[in-house]
Parts: sequence; C-alpha cells; structure tokens
Amino acid sequence: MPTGSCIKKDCTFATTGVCLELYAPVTTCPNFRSSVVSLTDAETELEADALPLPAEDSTEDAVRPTTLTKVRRRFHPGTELGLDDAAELMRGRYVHVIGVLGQSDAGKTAFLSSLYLMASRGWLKPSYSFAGSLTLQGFEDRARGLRKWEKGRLAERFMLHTQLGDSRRPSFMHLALRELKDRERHIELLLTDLPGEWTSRLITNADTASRFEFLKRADGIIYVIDGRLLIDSGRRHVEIHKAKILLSRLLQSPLMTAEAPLVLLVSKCDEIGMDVPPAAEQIMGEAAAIGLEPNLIMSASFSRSTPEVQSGTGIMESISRILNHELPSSTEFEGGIYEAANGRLFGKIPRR
Amino acid sequence: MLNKTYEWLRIAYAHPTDEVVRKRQLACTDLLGKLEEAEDITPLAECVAGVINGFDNGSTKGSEAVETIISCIRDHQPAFASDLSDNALELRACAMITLGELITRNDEEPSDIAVLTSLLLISSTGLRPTVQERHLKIALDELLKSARSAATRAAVLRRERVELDFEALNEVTAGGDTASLLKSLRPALKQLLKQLDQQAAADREELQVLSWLYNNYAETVGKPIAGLDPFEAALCCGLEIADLVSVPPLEGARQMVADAASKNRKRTGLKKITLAEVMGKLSHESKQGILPIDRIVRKLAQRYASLFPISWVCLRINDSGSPTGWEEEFRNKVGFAATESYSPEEIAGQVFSERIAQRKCEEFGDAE
Repeated sequence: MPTGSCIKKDCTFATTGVCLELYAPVTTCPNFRSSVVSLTDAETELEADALPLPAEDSTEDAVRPTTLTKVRRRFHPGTELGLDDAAELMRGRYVHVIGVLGQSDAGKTAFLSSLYLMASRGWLKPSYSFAGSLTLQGFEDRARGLRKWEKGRLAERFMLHTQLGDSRRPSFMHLALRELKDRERHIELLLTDLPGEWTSRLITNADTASRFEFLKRADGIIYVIDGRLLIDSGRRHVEIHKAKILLSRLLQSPLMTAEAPLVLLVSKCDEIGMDVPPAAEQIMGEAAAIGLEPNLIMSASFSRSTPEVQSGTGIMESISRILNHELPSSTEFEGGIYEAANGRLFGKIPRR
Repeated sequence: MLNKTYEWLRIAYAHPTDEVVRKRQLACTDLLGKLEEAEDITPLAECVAGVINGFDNGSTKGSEAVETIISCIRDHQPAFASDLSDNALELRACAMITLGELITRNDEEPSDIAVLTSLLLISSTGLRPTVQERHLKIALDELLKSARSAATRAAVLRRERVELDFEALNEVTAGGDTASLLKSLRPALKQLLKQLDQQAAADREELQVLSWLYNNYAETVGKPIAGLDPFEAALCCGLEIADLVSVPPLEGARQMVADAASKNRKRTGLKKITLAEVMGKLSHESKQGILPIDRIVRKLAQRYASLFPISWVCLRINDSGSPTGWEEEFRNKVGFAATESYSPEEIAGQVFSERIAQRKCEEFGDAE
C-alpha cells in the first residue's frame, strides 16, 4: 500500500487503503499526497580517503594524516521519534511513555501542542520546568495552525490532521521536565501522537490491537474525548458506547492492566461550560464496571472563552496524575501465622 | 529471573523483539555464571548496588560490574554501546534479571550465594523511598519479594526440627576389630551430632533473643533500653538482636526488633524524623557500635553506600570526625536525600537488615 494520505475530507484511504473516488492506483488521485520520506531513520555516512601525501621531494617530514573511517550516525530529525529512536532514549534512562488515544478531532494533537506551549512559556511552574525536547520541530509544526487567525479568532480547525511517516508504526513526541519540588526528578516523557483512525480501528476491529503493543510499556494512558460530543443528544450515546468498547479492548487484549493510570480527558470544555457532562459520568461508570479507575479531567487546550477558562486547563493535571500515580506496594510481608517447621513458636507472626 | 526477561526488558524497551530477548537471556546466563565463579563477592555487591541505584550514578559508575555486563552482552551482540548515557537502564534491567535468576533458581533450597544476594537486596531497600517509575517499580518489587521469600525459606530450613537419624547408627554392628567399628560408626555419629548441633543452635537463638528482650538492656551503650532516646534504642535493638540470631533470620525476628524499638513509648516519641536528625540523636558509642569490624565488610560498606546506608553514614562521620557535611555525598551515592523521614521501628529494622547482610558477607571471605 502506498504511504501517504488523502487531503479530501472523509476519504477512507487511511482506514481501508481504498480511494473514496475509486482511483486505482490511489497515487493517481489528485487528492492523494505521498508521504515525505521519513527522516526518522536518516543516516549519514562520513567517508573520506586519506589526504594525499606531500610531494616526495618536500623538505618537511611527511606526516600521513589519520584516515577517516566510516561512521554511521543517526541524527534525530526533530519532528517525531519512531520506536527505534524511542528505544535509544529508553535504554539510557527511564522514560515515561504516555499513550494518548482518541478518535479524529478529539483534541489529541491540541493537547500536545498546548503542553508544549505551556512548557515553552514557563507555565508548568511551580511544579515543573521545561528541560528540553528532541522533537521541538515537531511541536512547532503542530502548533503552526495556531498562528492563523480568522477575524481575530482562532480558526475553527487549527490542528493539522495527524499523519504518520510510517503508517504502521507509532510515533512519539518527546518532552523532558524538571520537577521543582519533592524529589526534583528529571522526567523524560514520550507521548504518542497517533492518527484518530488508529483508535477508531481499534474500536471497530480487535485485530488491530497488535499495533498498540507499545502500550504495554506505557506508564499511563490518556483517552481524549471531545466534550462537545458528550453533550450532543444525538451523538453522546455513540461516544459512550465507543468508549466502553475501547476500554474493554484495552483491558482484554491486554494492552493495559487495571492498575495502570488512566485519564479520561474531556476536551474542548471551554465550549461546554466546564461542567462535567452526565455522559462522562456514564463512561466513568462503564470503566468502573470492568475494574478500571480512571481519573476524569475537564480540559481546554486552547480556550475560546478566556478569561473564564484559561488555555491549558487540565493539560498538566493529566500528566501529573500519571507521574504521581501511587502504585500499590507488593513487598510488604503479608503477615499471618508464619509456621516455622515442626511447630516452633519462635518466629511466628500473629495476624494483626 | 530469565522467564521475566521480556517483561523486565520493557523497562528499557517500548517493545522488545524476540531477538533482543533471546540475546539478553544468553547474556544474563553468562553473567550469572561469572557472578557464581567470582573469587570474591565484590562483583555481586556491585550488581546489587547497580540494580538498586542504577549504574550511572553513585559508586557503581565505571565499576567492574558495568564492564562485565557489557562484555556479556557483547558476546552475543557486538554492536552494543559502552557509554552509560546510552545503556545504563538496560544494564540495570539485565542485572535485575540475573539476580532474580540467581535467587529463584532453587526455590526449595536456596544456595548460600542466593541468600547473600537476597540479604543484600533487603538491606539496600529498607530506607529507599518508593520508586515512582512504574515499570521499574513493578520489577524491583517482584525482585525484592523473591529475595524475602528465598531468605525466609533458607531461614526455615536452618531451623527445621528434624527427626534424628538413628537408622545409620542402628546398622552399625559390633564385631570385627576396633578400627573397623570406628570406621563404620564415625559417619553415623557425625550425621547425628550435626543434626543435634543444628537444633541446639536454633534453641540457643530462641533463648538468647528472648533473654535479651526480657532484660531490655543495651550492651552497646551500657544502659537500659527504656531510658534511651527512641532512635538510639532502635539502633541498639537492631544491632544487638542481629548479632544474636542465626543468619538468615526468620521474618518474625524482624518483627520482634520493630516491637522492641517501639515498646512502651509515647506516640510523640515514635514520630518520624529525617535521617540527618536521627544521626544527631545517636551517641558516639552507638555510632561506633554499628561500625563493621570485619575489614572486608568495612570496605564494602565504605564503597557501596546504597547497600548499607546507615553503616556508611556512621563510617563517614567516624572517618571525617565531623557529625555533619555527609548529606550531599550521601545523596550522590545512594540516590535519595537525608531529608527522608523514618520512625524508630524503621530505623531498627534497617540496622537489623544491614547487620545481618554484613554477617553473611563475612562468611564469604576475602573481597579484595
């Protein structure tokens, strides 16, 4: 299947590989755009022959310079990290992997952009400060749409539809933070930026769960749901149903365990008044019914209702919930009557 | 635990492939062999310290253990980086897998080295704050649980009250010359006496510990426990009971230590205070009491603060002659600050664990 995407709205190429207008091959469709060659695996070879020796009759001693040897070096393009790039980072120090899931237009990319802009403006304080990123260019590219205003307001759609360099493999955005209190940790974050179609396909087809294998390593999952759909009487039931299926699928595949931190991030809450929609409560109930305990957070990545609702509301809170999630300790001695062999009383620990 | 290679490698990989898992299992098997064949316990101690605190900080940075693990990995995958900034966490995961395998390989009867590893892990983790990295925590918890299980199993086996074996003795018949009689009698007698000795040791342990608890007197400082500051009492309880029990101790002994440290104390006296404050409350005699006497153990304690944190602090204060100024070095070497808070029971338990681990180290001889 050719790698690329279709700029025609609602084209099913991304999910089915078939052009909506039945162009075959799909590359002949005027709306199809081939992917830019991924720079994720860019390699540079440095190779040089030895420099020519000085002329033989030179009075100076001839010094043969060191021959440069071939060096294979991978440079991060700065747009996003693939699994291999992520592995390079993870082998050196602990990296918190956060899976950001949600359907198209739920607000996943806006979430990432808002996080990035808050970090770059120092708005993560007093808890955290920005400590670097290997995907600065990627964040900038995603935030570019925010600079286009229509009649003094943000455009209705200001985030580009997410496309992957390799449509079969996930990509990650990287952010490093410094904790400013408690243990003052240096925290590395890898956040997924997946097309909404991935989540949609997982909901409709359990067989696609294999492409989410990396979620087993996730330190937490943020499931983004468009708040506007949750108050839409015609669509909220569908959203509840889809959420229920997705959460069940994540648990049963299994791509996550019940103890893993899970955040239900209701997006675009500036447009629904910041009140928790009953549909969101219902989703929480569905989650609890299958043994999950998600944290419900109302968010507004880029508010259209400032100053009542600030841009970035709920963004850092969702990250903090995952970073500071308390895991149960399983090393405590369970107590009970401890029987030393043959009935010795010494060493018995009575149940308390 | 080799059967956990995939799960524990996930600490350092988003999605470890079959090939990576296979190669690391082979590397860990090789590393296990090297640890078991090593002439002294230093490589093992370094591995434990690296598992607990990471290989890219403290005293394990650039250690022999790092070189050994990298070498084992490179035997199966030559293209493996040697720079700790590129591989420190993966080395840690491999060391965890190896130590886990060492501890759990013979569940029914843990080997001496498995018990030593378990006791070092227990000693290293007593004061550490909870790990907040999820997958690292899951793996460390599992490793520590196995360690406690192995130590407990070995403790039970040591104290097992067995039926004396008279069968061999009954088979010895009179007749023949004296030399033949002695030759056939000796092994049976030896076996019986060994069993009796083991049981006597277990009985003696019980009597001594119970007598100590009854007397409630700290030999270290020459004063009744009840009259001491709660934290000084905690140190004395941990230290002196650890010297009375057989190694490894039963889990119940640990509980007794905690109870002895907190018995008949007002609640205010049991409030948690920082490690720096604890050190301030200890007398010179009690700090001297905890210093390892054995030369090899002393060297281990000085080199690897994360294995014996309280012993390290006391050694540091003793060597420098100053009760303060160790806090920054402590933080660099163990990975957490001296501002973490502990109760008297926790301090007593930690001192107990450190002393027990040190006694086990002494059994293994030269660490040079």
